[in-house]
Amino acid sequence: MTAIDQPHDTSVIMPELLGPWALMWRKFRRHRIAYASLCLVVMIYIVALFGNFFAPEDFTDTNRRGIYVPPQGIHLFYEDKSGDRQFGLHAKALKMEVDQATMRRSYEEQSGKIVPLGFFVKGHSYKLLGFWKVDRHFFGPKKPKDVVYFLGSDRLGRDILSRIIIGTQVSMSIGLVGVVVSLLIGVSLGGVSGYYGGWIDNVIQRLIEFLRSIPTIPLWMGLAAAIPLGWPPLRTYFVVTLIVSMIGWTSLAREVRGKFLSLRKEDFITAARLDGLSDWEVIRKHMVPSFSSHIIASLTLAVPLMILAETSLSFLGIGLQPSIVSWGTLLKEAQNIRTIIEAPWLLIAPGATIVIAVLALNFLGDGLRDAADPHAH
Amino acid sequence: MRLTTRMKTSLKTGAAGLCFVVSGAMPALAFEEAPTLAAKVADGSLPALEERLPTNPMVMEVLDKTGEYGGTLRRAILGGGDQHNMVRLISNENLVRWSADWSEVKTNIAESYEVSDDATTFTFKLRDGMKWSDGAPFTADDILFWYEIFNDERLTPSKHAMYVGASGAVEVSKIDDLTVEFKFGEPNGLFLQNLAYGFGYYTVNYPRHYLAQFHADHNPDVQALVDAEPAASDWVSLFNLKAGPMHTPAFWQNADRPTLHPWHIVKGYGSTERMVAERNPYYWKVDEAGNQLPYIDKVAWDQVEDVETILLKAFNGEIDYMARHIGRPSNLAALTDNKERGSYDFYSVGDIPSNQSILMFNLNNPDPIKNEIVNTFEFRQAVSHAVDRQEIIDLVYLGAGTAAQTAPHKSAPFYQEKWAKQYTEFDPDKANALLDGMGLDKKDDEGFRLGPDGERFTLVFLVADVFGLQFPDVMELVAEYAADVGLDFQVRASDRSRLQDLASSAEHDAYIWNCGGGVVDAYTNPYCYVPQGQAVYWAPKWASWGVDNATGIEPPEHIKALFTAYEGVTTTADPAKQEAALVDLIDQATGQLLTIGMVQSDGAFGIARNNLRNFPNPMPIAGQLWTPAPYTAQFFFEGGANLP
Repeated sequence: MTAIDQPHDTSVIMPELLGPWALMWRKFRRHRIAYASLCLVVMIYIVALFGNFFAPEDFTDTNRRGIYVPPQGIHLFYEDKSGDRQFGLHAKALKMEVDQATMRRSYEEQSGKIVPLGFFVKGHSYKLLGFWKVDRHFFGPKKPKDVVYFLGSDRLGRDILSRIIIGTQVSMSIGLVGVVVSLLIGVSLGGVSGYYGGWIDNVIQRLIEFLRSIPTIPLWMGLAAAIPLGWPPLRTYFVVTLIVSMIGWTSLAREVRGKFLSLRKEDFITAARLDGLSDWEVIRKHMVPSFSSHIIASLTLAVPLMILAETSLSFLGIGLQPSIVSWGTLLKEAQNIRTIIEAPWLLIAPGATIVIAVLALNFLGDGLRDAADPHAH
Repeated sequence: MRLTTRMKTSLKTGAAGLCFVVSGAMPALAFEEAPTLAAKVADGSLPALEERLPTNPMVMEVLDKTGEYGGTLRRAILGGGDQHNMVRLISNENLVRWSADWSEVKTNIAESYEVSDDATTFTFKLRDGMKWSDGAPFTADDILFWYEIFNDERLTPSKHAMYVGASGAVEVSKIDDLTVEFKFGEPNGLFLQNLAYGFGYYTVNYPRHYLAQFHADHNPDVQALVDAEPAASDWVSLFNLKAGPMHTPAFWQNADRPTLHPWHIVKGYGSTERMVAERNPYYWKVDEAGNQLPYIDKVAWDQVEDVETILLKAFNGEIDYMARHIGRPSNLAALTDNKERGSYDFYSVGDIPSNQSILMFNLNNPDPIKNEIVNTFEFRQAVSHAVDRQEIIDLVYLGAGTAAQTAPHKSAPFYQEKWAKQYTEFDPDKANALLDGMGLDKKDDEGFRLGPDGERFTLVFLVADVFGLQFPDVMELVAEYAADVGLDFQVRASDRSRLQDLASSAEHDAYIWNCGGGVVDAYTNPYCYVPQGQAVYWAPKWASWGVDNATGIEPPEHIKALFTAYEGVTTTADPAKQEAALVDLIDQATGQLLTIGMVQSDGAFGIARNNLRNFPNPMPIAGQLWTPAPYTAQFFFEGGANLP
């Protein structure tokens, strides 16, 4: 609309006109925490995508000489055999001792023995992106036979760092699918309901009330019985997430409807309509952007809930359960007194990861909301 | 007190007493009672001790020394289905009992008993003047009242197997007020043993004077009671509510029901945060010095959310005696660290199943291709060789236990090393050769073997995380060993009850569970050696055929031979013949490798506060052996009070 006010004189140098997206991006970049969070989220997805490349060990490899190893540090200087100080990334080699009375394992550093570490080392082989067979890893012990637990190991001697990295794949993908499905259904049905009103509104609202009245536990029990046992656990979880999100869109739809009801009488909507835009264009171009901040906020708040809810249906056999590695299952495995007393890193490491990821997503959402909100200053 | 003769039977394991042996006459005693009860007698709210005790009270041998009165035995209980927490602690009081070391059957409620030579007729003599916990007399009529309930299709839709012989249910008749006769149509050599085990409780837990009011045949005005009880719609549901079986929560929700137990509950299970059972003033046992038992005043259970809370309570010294829920290898280190803080020490628990984690293939698989493969002996042998049992023990069970098949433990009198050790060597090459030899030699591009139909051969294992046995961890390892020899084992974890539903209807491929029958209970609980009993998850259809030939699936000859072998155990009362028949059964069963055992436990542990005395150590326990009762009554606190 600004363009209409300009005189039709091409000789005047006009400032470069930015579209709404470019404006948003410019605003977003000024929000430093949000920008840093965006980088972090991108990194998390890169790690998830190339999981096995970043994981130093095979996440399923058990080790009877490595039960409950505490996190091992990375050291820089060591003394070689002749007694000279040398520079080189390494970890200290550990020796396991078993207390026969309590069956407890304790580990002592072996003096003089080191495990050299390096970048792009050879390790267990895996399929990169599911296609190419490779055995290079980003960082880890130089000798493939050595094992180093940067974040400690669990009760079966499995590397926690590798498990967290592999767990990223499930936690940051399938769980989010449910959030997105809820969003799509909620916005479109809520939008239709609020924009048109009348009998469509009536039908959709009664549908929402019906869905809300379904008791969830019996529904999940029915699902648990209906899903064939032969399905792989991930597919089961995916389908359950989809179904749960199909009934989980109702509250968002109500909020969207309320917003649409108040917006459709506004002058700029009337103007857009008079300009000959179709209903769909009015909704998409004018109404949805005007409350995108709300959608983004509710979206980012739903993500941590989804991660924590991963295991909540396990008791029916349709949630995520061990052998599948995700942040939720890692946390669940750590929720007992034995872990807190003997191996607190099992709780701290995945817990910290989840906190970081969730904070990053929240700040990202925050920044996006601020950038998208036309009323913000 | 009159001089009485007590009968002591010279029963060794698996035997039924065939003759009376008169033991030394007991000297007359002056009886003593707890101070709390003496106070009640003094103020007239309770009759004198001599009137409360039977004329011939049972003299309980103390395990260590004569105790002193006082204290509260504190435990923790989970909500919902944790009633065995009480059942096993305070209520295992049957006509006969097992000795504290589980080696012989002794008298208990019955003053004496007699077994006919052909092991069909069992006669029990009750104690004169014995009373329920409310003071009403306990006589033969109470047992006959149970028998009436037992025979009533409305109230007992399915009869417990131990009271049913091949030709029908037991016949119970009253000889006189204190004498009852149990008669079977054919020899039942294991009846006395069974009666001493947990489910013998049925006969002596139905107080006629209290329960008759809820029975339409005894109380024509029962409808008034039905109307007063909102949870009951007719008298049958009212009766089931008031007279629930003891191993179900219903029994523990009715605090009004009189019992013969050393303590009776004051508030029902689930109705309160802290369940308390108080001393039964009419308890019919005394120690050798004439003190009325129990020594300990009260038993209390704090209801908690989860096992972790029980552990914390133990660290704080709020648990006086407990093995249930917390006596697991994984908790040993943490419990050891807090020993001084909680003032407790460990005792050993002889919890010895035939195997604690067993791969059970469903030998009645509805899928014909899978069924044929799992029923091939070489397949099970190959799986057995593919599994590295020692690694499972080192990793999952922290080094505790022995690599073994599903077989009697080495502490069993009829142990044979061959049964436990055969096919247990870790030998993937042998496993591969056996599988190739079966015709499963074609593999897909991921290295998994193809079935005869050209599809990948996959078995889905059901797994539940129960008993602290870490079955999901075990299965994860097993699935990897299987993949190493080209077998695709999928693991599906779920809730225990859902898995058991699937398994008991034989819809599953395979299952991982534990199995009793590791020691003397192999006589009465052989469900992993022969498809007989409620929990035969490896062959549910053969088990139902065994009960009724018109149902289930007819088993092949080598399985029918197992049924025949077990008949050799049940139809004789001669201990030597019973043992010979049992050895024959186990030899046949283990030779067929019906199930694949992995780890045999060498026992578990429990904790007891430092001043608790007279508890069995080691304490035998089994699925049917509901210990520490009836020995809890002679537990006591040194000093007469709990440690601070």
